[in-house]
Amino acid sequence: MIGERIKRREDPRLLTGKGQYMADLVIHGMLHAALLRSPHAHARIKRIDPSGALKVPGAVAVFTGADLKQHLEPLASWYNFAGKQAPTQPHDYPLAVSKVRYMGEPVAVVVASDRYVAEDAMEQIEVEYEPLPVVVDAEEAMKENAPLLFEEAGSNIYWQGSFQYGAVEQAFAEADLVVKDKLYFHRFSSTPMEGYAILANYQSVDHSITIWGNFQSPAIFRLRIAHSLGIPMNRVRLITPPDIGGGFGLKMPLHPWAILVAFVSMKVMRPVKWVEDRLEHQAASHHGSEQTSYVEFAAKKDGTILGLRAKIIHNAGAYVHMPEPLGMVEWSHIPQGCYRFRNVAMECYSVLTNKCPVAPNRGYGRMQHQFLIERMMDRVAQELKMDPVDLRLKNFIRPEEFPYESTNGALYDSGQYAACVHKAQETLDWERWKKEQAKAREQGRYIGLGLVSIMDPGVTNMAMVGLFDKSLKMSTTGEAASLTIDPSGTITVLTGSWGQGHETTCAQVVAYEFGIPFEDVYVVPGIDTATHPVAGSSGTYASRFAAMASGALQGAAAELKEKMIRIAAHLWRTDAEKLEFSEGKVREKGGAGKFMPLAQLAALATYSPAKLPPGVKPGMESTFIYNYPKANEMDDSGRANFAATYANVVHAVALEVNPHTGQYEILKYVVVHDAGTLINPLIADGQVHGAVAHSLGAAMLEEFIYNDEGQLLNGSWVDYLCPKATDIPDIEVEHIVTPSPFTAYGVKGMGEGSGPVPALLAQALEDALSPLKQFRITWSRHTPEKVLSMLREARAG
Amino acid sequence: MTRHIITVTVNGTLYTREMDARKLLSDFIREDLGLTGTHLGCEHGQCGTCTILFNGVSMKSCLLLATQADGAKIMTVEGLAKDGVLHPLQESFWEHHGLQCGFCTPGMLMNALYFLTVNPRPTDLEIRRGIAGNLCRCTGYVNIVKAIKAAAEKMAQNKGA
Ligand code: FES
Ligand code: FES
Repeated sequence: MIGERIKRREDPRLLTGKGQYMADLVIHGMLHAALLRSPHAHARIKRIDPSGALKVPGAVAVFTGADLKQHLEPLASWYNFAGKQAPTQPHDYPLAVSKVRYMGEPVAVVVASDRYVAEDAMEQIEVEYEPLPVVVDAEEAMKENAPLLFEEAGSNIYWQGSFQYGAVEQAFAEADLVVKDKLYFHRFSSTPMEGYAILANYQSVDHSITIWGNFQSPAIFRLRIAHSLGIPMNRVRLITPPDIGGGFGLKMPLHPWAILVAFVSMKVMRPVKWVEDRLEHQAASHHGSEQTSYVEFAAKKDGTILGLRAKIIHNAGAYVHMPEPLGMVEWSHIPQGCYRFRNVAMECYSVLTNKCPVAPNRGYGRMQHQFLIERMMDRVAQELKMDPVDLRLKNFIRPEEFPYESTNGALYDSGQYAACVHKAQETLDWERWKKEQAKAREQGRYIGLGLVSIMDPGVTNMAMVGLFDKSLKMSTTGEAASLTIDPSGTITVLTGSWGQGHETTCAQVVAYEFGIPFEDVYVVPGIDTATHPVAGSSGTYASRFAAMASGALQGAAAELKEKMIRIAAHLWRTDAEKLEFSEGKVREKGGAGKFMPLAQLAALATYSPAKLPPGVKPGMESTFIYNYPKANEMDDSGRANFAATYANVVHAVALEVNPHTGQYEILKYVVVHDAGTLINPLIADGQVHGAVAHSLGAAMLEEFIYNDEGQLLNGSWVDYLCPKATDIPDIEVEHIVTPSPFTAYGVKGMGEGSGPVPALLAQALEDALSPLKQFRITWSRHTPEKVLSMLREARAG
Repeated sequence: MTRHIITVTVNGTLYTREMDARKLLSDFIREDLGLTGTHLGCEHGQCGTCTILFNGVSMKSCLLLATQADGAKIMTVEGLAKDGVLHPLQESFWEHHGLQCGFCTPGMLMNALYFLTVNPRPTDLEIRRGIAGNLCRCTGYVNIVKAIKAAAEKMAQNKGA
């Protein structure tokens, strides 16, 4: 059951149009909200006159930032957990108060009988702005005389911190070679097909509120939503619908708009719904993080890498919404990548600018670090005239070194990095492409090969928040599950996270544990905080589901099996040690003698508690909160096991550049992946395909482009280019299975191993053009225009 | 706002409804007829999640007004399975894991259905071109292409039989 390519049970409803997404939810009497947004990137709001909105027939109410400020607590930040205030937080409400700080920031909300009317009404709101100087570049924003987003903070630097692991000075002193570069990782996002959406229904009779939303982590932010609304947490109920139209991390943050819609429902005493449209999503939902890095790598002549020193500057946009600024320290999962060098110094700046706020986006914060490491590996290889693959092989952590404690305490669980490289080369047919390349060069054609190797860590240990404030002591990684065996012998499963394929994979795990048919396990779709168990870090993010939910399911199943064995032992007046649970029943070990099926045991525990042994509680239900056993707190030197699992991935590519247009065609694309035991390889392959497509899209096409006035220039899907079927090649996926020694079944989190594609294409493009010139690509988005300008540069000599 | 009355056949059922002139066909299908399988990913003609068959031709319903559908025959994803039996395309998407979040799926299926009427035995590249108007953010298209290819073979066989 575990490891089988089982077709997903979610699919029939999705294939027949019966999926239920946020936009499909309707409750009686509900109103619709529309948000008026700022056309300016930075401006003082001199005057708002919303009165015109209410003259539109069907409009019910209108609110501005001033109303929110009067009634709500500002948005929470991580600092609240330590009883502190974040540098800019007192001013952050879901609607702008007195000032707007990015184009698209909401300034007013209207509710009306339907969305058409709400938008009509929205257009009648008058706002007078006084434009202010704009800063969109993070390094500019750090300068003394830069325009300030929050004047009272005195600086645009939201947070800064420096971390040193190992003997960095010494490493650089001993190096034969130090390579330096300034790298830029651009701003894009995986733009899920479905935007955010919220439906809130306040009940004044008991001062409670139910909020439906496509939240990726309702458990984490329930406390913070309650805090802003001023409603006790136990009266705030968050529910997700059964289906979500893609999240990719972007639906993980604290939703300012959940709080906004909830507030409106409280005021108008009616259910209120808001569905973010595409233009709103592109301009003002959240973007992935943009990073400038000044990097130095120290190496020996023989190619041994000694250390890395980096100053990284993270363009956070205008506001810092939880879980930000975590993206700034996500490198802590993979400080040294797949390599053995242990001297790492990181100097980090999270800087506010007049752009859209950032949020987790598939490969959160790690993509930037992977890009940095893989690019610098190539740089060292170039300088030493070594083959970039050989350089990687030389520096890999060896299989026998696992579990391997990296320099900052990240405990890499297992892996066979070199084996993955060999398999990737074999699958790509590396040697053949080398020959093709040589042949092509003779004909004046440019084929390039690339291969990069990265970690795909899963499950954030919340200890990581200690990196930006030592007084934040956390260690949660866990997930919760509850199992109920009913008297008919079927099992109901609830978990604290939801998302793609979970109904299938959870059912596989539970069916496996009890040895019962897959069909006998029902996994309740979606999450409801009133009914579903949660752990401190529950949610669908950081590739945590497979590793953490399986631990929770295994734990709950073990409790129930033990309970059933105790009951049977009592009834049969025998020793529990003589019994076992297998194939849906308790039986005598060896299998020859008596047995009792789980339906009978559950019925007994439910209807005849008098028959139970002393100390055994009635019912057949277990809730298990699993925390990863190696999840520790951060120590004073900034060390902890910052993730839980450490899958790894090798990507290899052959591409050909068209020297006339700068376009390039991917001739073959291979991924070799090691995520330990796979619960369902069909689903795992799909995750890899999706991750590659996101990253290929980013590396070839996608970027949010702002001008100096902070205007987003490509805010629609006409000009923000998502990859189409004609842009993505066939992707061949191979697996190597090195189980984690620490998790249930040896599974590792997976699905975000897409980070290296910008570095991969850079390497392959440099290789392709090397007969013309040895380029140093320091950027992450490789458009045909860019390649064409390289070709021109090469021809100009 | 002027009101209009239209009569339209959707998945074989005849509907007569009155609406504002400005109502989009996509909103009409979702809100007035309650057929929420037709999704809205962009509302500006780029993503294809709202694709339907309009008099047998694949169209993006967010780019049409409901009033333009007066007298038309429309098929949405809800009309694809017959008597609880999945269409070969649906079967094939299921079999080949051609969907993840499922948000693009209804539009993808409707466009694929039309595409296969025009090109019943397509190559991989033709399939990729045929669905280039439908975005999918989850699958990287790999399994969608496989699913459509396999369905085409199945449908051709069924026809032959
Ligand atoms: S919703 Fe119609 S094409 Fe995107
Ligand atoms: S399956 Fe999610 S967009 Fe296609």
